Amino acid sequence: MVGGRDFVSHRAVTGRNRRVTMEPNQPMCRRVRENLSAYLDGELKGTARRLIEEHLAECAECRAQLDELKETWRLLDELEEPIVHNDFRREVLALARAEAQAEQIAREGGRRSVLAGLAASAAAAVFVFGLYASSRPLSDPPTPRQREAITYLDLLENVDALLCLDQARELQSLGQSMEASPAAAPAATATKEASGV
Amino acid sequence: MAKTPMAATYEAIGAHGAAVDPDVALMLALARGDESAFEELVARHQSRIVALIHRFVGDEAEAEDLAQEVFLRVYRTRDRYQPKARFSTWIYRIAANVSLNALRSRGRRRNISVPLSYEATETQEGQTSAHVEDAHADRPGARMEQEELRTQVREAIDQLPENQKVAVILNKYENLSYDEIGAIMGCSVMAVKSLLARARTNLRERLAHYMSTGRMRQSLA
Repeated sequence: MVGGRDFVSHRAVTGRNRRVTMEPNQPMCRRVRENLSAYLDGELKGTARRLIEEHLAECAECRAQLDELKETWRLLDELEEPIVHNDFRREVLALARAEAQAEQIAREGGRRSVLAGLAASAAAAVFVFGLYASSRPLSDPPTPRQREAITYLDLLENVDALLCLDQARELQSLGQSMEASPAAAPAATATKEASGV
Repeated sequence: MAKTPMAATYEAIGAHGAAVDPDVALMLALARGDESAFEELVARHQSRIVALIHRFVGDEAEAEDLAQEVFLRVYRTRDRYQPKARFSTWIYRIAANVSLNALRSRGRRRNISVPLSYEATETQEGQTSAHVEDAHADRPGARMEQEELRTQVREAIDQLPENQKVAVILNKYENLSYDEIGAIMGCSVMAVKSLLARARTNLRERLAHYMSTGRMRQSLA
């Protein structure tokens, strides 16, 4: 509801007991006409409505204005009311179902995409980790034990040959000693077969 | 005692919480996956929404197309629907926005296709009455007169500024109070009062020729 505060306060200023005549009362008429629309819509209550009605009872000009506004509003009834097509509801429901299905498909497609994305991410992670792991010994500085191992790498790689060489030298010295003492010869032959030299 | 979900819902509606709004209940049922609730909502509101949009666009087929769009927008929001107002307030707001958007795009098309002379008559305030008078220099039969009046009422409403048009349509044809119109338009009751007062004045000037009583008709005769 529209409050008639402005209207009421105006009336208070002009005086409650002031008699309104048929003579144009410009400020009052203006105030009333500003509120005629709300009056017609039933939005004025109480004092505001009563003051309008009192003024209308005494002011022919404002009554004419009121009649014109009523007539204008009545003319708007000329617009036809459309008749809703019989299939309207069915069509709306069909469109809604189609949208729901499309959303469902999009959601499922989205889930598949997420799973595929996760699998691809996992594969990529494994690949990257592999690259990292394979490149790490080259990029990180060797530990003291590794440095020591690298220093003696040639030695370690040929340790078997060196052992054989030692054994060969021992056999050679043994042979020399057997030449000097023939009783030790069978034992030296057995040792040579065992070492495969 | 713990509040029921529905009680909490209506409490959330605010000023209208005390009133039972079955449409809100249907919307919440739809949000829970009850598709029949949507069918019920469409059945309850289709006539009013189509009629409302028809007041804006003046074409039945277009009104139905736009009303479909309104209901689909309602449907699309089902998962995130939060009742903050009466359902009718919400759907009227959607319908008004859809209608105004259609009119705006139509206006853009008209700016390209309508002859300049007609456009000038359409857009300049104060020209409509003269246009109407010329059109009725040779009065046709009663049916054509009725049709002509309908056309002029249609044009008079079309020529109102957007916000006045919305206020008039909601007030005149939907019988909504200033409070309800304010809620739909997002403005105060005083603003609605002002809009409707100015709209009535504009309409009175544009339809003066068709008034059966009053001084304006006499002055134009």
